[in-house]
Amino acid sequence: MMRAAALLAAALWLAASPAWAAGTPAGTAIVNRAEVVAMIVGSPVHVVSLDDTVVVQEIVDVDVTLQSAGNVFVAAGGIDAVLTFRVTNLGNGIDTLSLVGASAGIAGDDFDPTFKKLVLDDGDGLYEPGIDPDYVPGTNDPILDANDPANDSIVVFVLNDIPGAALDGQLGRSELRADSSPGPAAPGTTIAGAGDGGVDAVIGLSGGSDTELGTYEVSTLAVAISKSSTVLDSLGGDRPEPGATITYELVVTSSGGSTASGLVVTDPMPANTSYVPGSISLNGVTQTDADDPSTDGSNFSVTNANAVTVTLGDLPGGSPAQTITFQVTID
Amino acid sequence: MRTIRGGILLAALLTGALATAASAEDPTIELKTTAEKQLQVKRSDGSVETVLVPAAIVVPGDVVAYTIEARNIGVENAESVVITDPIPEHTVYVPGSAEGDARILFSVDDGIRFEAPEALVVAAADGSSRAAIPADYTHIRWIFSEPLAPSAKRSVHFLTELQ
Repeated sequence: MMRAAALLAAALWLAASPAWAAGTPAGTAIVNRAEVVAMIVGSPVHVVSLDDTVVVQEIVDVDVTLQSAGNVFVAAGGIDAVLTFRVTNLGNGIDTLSLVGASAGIAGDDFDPTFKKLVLDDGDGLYEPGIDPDYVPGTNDPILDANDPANDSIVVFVLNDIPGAALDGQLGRSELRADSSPGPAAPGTTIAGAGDGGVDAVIGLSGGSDTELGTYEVSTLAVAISKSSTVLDSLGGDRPEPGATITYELVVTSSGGSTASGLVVTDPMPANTSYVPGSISLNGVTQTDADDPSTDGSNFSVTNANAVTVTLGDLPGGSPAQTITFQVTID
Repeated sequence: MRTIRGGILLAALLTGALATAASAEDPTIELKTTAEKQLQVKRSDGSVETVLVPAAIVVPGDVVAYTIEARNIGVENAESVVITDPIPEHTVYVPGSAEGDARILFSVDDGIRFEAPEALVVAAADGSSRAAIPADYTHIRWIFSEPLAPSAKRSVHFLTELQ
C-alpha cells in the first residue's frame, strides 16, 4: 500500500518534467550493488550483493528548427533563395540522418517555390555558395552524435527559386524533413539491435522524424525620387536670369513589402549657380548646413563637395513621401 | 583392506573440504538486488496503471525501480541490520520513493555521512552551503530496529530516473 502511493507520486513528478534531451549514452551499463551489515551472535557480518546491471538502449529522436526569424524576403524571379534550418539529434546515440526538402503542394501559401537543393553548412552557419557542400542522399548524410555537444547538430540550407510571376506580399512555403536511420516509426517502437553497438533502438517522442516549414515572402521594393524646380526672378516673375532664385524640390518614395535602409540623397549644385545658405528643408523643417548628425542628417558641401546631402535613414515600403527642398541663385 | 582405508581417508578429506567452503561462503545473510522498469499502462476502461516490468530495455527518462531483498539463511537472529545502496551512476533518486520498514537516511558525500533529507546540506565552492536536492544523493541507507530472524526476509525499494 505504502509502495503503491510512492509509485503514484513518482509518476506525477515525471509527468511534470519536460521531455528529455540527450541523456545517458546508449550502451552505458547502469550498475547497482547493495551491501548489508549486521551482528550475528556478537560478530559483525558484511555481505555485498552481486552487481545488478542494466544496459541503456538507444533512444532515437530528431528535431528540425527554422533558424530564419520570420518570413524570408525575396524578389519575384529570385534564384537560390535560402531558408536556414538546424537539424539536431535529441537522442542518446549516434544517428545517421537522411534529409528531404520539398516545396510543392504545401498548404497555406500563395505560390510554390521551385525546390533546387539542400546544402550542408561547413560549420560557420553562413550559406557560402561553392564552399558549403551540396547534400547528396546516401553519400554525405549527416552523422550526428547526441553525446557530443560540438557535433550533435548541423545547419542545413534549403534553396529554392522564386517564380517570376509571384506578386508583392505573396507567401511561398518550403520544408525540410530529417529521418533517423532506424526510420520513422511510432514513438515507443523498439527495433532490436538497431542501436549503437548492437543495443536496441527505441523510437522517441519525435517518431524518429521531424519536419519544419519556412516561408518566403515576395517583396518588390522600389525607391523613387522626383525633382522639380521653381524660378523666382527679382521682379517677381519666373525668368531664369542672373540673380533669380531657383527652388528645387525632391520627393522620395519607397514602395513594396520591405524596408529601404540607410537612404542618403545627394544633389550637386548645377553649373553657374550658388547655394543659398541655410535653405535646406526636410518635410518642411529647416536643416542646418553643418555636419551635425545630432541635430539633423543634412549638410551642404561637407559629405560631398558643393552638394546638398540629406540622410533619410530607413524607409519602410509605403511610408509617406519625404520632401526635400533647397535653393540656389543664378550667377 | 588398503582400498577400504583409502576410501575412509578420502571421505574424511571431502567432509573437511566442504566444511571449510561452507564457513567461508556462508555469510548467513543473502542479499539480492533487482531492477525493474516502471511503465504506465492504459487499461481498456481508460484508467492508467503503473506496472513494473523487467528492466530489459531502458532509455533516458525511464524510471527504474530497485528492490533489495535481505534473507537470513543462518540459524541465529541477525541484529542491527543495515542495508546501504549507492544510487547507480547516471540515475537520479526519485524524491520520496525510498521505502522499507526501517529508518531511511541519505548521503550526499559518497557514503561518509548519512542524514535525514531535511538535514542534508551541500557545500558550494565559495564556502556557502545549501539544502541538498535529490540529484545530490549518492547513497541510501535503511536501518532496521527489529532483528531479522532465521529464514525471515525483508525488502526495501527505491526509484531512480535514468538521465
